Amino acid sequence: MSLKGYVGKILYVDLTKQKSYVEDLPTSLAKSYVGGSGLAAYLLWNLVDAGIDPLQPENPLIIATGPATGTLAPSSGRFVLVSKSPLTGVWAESHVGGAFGPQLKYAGYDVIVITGRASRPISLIIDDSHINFYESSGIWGLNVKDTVNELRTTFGRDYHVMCIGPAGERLVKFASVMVDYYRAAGRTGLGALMGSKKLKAVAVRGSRDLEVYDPDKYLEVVEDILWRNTVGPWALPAQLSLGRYGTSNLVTAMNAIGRLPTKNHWTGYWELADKISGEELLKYRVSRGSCFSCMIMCKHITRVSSGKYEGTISGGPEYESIVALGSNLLISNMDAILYMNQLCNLYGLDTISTGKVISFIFECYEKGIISKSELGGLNPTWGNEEAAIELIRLIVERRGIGDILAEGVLRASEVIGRGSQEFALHVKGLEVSAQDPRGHKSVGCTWAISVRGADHLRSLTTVDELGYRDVAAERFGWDKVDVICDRLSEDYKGMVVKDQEDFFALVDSIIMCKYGTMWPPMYYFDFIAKLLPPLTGIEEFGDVRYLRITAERIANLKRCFNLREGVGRESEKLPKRFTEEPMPTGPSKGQVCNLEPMLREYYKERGWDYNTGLPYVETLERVGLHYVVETLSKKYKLPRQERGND
Amino acid sequence: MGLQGRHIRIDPKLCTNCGICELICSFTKFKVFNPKKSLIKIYYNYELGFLEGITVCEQCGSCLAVCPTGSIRMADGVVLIDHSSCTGCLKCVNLCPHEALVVVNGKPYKCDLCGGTPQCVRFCVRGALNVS
Repeated sequence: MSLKGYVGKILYVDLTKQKSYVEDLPTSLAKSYVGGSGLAAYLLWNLVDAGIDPLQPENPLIIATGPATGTLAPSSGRFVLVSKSPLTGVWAESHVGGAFGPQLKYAGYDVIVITGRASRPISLIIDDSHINFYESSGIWGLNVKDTVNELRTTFGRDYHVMCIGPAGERLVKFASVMVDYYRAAGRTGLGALMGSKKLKAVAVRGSRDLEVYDPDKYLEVVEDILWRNTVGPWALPAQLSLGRYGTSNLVTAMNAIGRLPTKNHWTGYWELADKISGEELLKYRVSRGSCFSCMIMCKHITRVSSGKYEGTISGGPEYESIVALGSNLLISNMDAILYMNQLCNLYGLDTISTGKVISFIFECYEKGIISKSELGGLNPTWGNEEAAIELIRLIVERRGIGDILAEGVLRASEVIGRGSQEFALHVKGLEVSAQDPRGHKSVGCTWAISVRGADHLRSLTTVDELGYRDVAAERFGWDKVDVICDRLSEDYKGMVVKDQEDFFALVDSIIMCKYGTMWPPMYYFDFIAKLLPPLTGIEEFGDVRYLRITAERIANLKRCFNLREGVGRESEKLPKRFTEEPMPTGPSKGQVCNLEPMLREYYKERGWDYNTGLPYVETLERVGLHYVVETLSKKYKLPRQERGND
Repeated sequence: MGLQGRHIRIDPKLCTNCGICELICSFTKFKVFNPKKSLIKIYYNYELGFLEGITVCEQCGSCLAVCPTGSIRMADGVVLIDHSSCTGCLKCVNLCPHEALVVVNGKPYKCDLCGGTPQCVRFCVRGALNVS
């Protein structure tokens, strides 16, 4: 049978030879790995050998969509970039919105696998089946906005563009890939990967039909989606929070529970948080926008219309950017935050990592580890917006201290030494996102076990953070609700994190947005079991048990990718700040994160051995990863579950 | 321009460029997802965040006069095409002052207000679309 919902094609591109070819997407792969992140995990596992240098031409950039992409599935305008990370050397995955992903499917491809390295700058222009390798020396060096405008002027206004800015070209290790001007695949430094391939941009437009298996039944699902977003219980909460303010709404909420990262995560509460709140940001908003096929519509464009930063106009900033460039640096001037956000969007920098390397330097300077002369006369004191802006420029231009910081906070702290490692906040080399495990204990487990490093989007639990008691009860039982919803308790959090990791592995493969699946928790496994069968015609997807096994298969495969690279249990730890320094101020005062009990519970739930950090053979076989057992057994002695053990 | 009937209008301040009107239109009319086949098209400047324009049939009836086979008629203010007698000469497409006709498999298609309940209006969560 031919696959519906999917296009059923994978495009392979070799930049070295400037050749491309198309292969069919086997139905068996769609059944086992769904699409998106799951399918990309399978492809990456088979395409690269362990130990490959991320910037080697053979390391592929996988651009993947899922079966939901381009259909009316909820918030499904997204796609994912997958590779081995230039920043961390482990699994890299970054999701992004806009309308590029759907266009890719309308052009006739589910996935693009890009390998090789062009001898001169190049862009890939895809117009249905026409693949054009466009010589791009003329646009190399341009910022993101100019690049997109240049390509859309040359080829047509209906093209959607993903590209890198100067940061990616200069191999800044946390460079982002920008899509449709302002949407960012920010994390894990895939902009540097594109830069190393001399690939400036990929532009795509498509005109083909995307068919569904059972249109009448699918229309019923679509009606249900409309109901949930207009009448259902989550419709109003979603519109009043995400809809009205975008993610910036979280600033006030997180400050209220003592979880707003402030001063390089020194504390979780800031007296001046009101100055950078969602309400404040509304004053700058010129329009409310949306990614493709989304009913939540949390995006916005903001402008500074007076003062020193007059003329600043860009998409966002999101909660993560406001915190990384605001409270994290004690900068309360919203104008300056918007300006820095614009710089990052134009240069193609991840705002989270950028903010965290700057706060690292600020703290090093405060503690006397680094002197003014080493910083070229810069005065990086807390709240100094000029210094922060100058540091962003230095990073992109790789001048002076910027050249060191451009390698990410882990490598920068190793170069600087002198005890600065203590202030380098990362897990597996990825700078921490805007949560705090002391004020929200499950975040500790989420960060530690996350396959791409300290990051919230692979398994963040919101039932405890935002107090969704009914949802927690429905999923885990009323008897556990009080403990699960207690954000300051470590109990049951390993279990909840494992459940979220599985669910998000599936969501990231279908691909839907976290808004709707995480915040608010509008959709869960049961909805996906209704969505996928009429869309794809794959009956198995209608069984929640099958979906859960599939989700586990994907989650396990990603973890095993890191294991194959030799990165396992020892990398799953938190910076001392969160486990040893009690929260000094605010509502979470006195708290530290006790990681090990959560990890132990997580390993048990996952079916992995806590002591060795390796998966039980039985676990991998149960989820159908026999080939992974074979590969990993060459490197490790995989444990077996003893009889009688629970 | 002939009779000005009720047709789909947009409030540019409310449109967010989510594209759902285009998706539900192509799905309702052709059972596929393909914005290029949508009978309503949104042109949005996502660099600066504003609606540049929209093309959708305004039910003006200008095309009635050019149809050589008389396949286009007006009923209750809605212009309808009878595809069984349409020969696909596409004179109506060339004439349309709003460029609102879409050619699919050689035949012209246009917004018929979904027989009274336009799906694009129903699915516009922001309420940017209306019939008036």
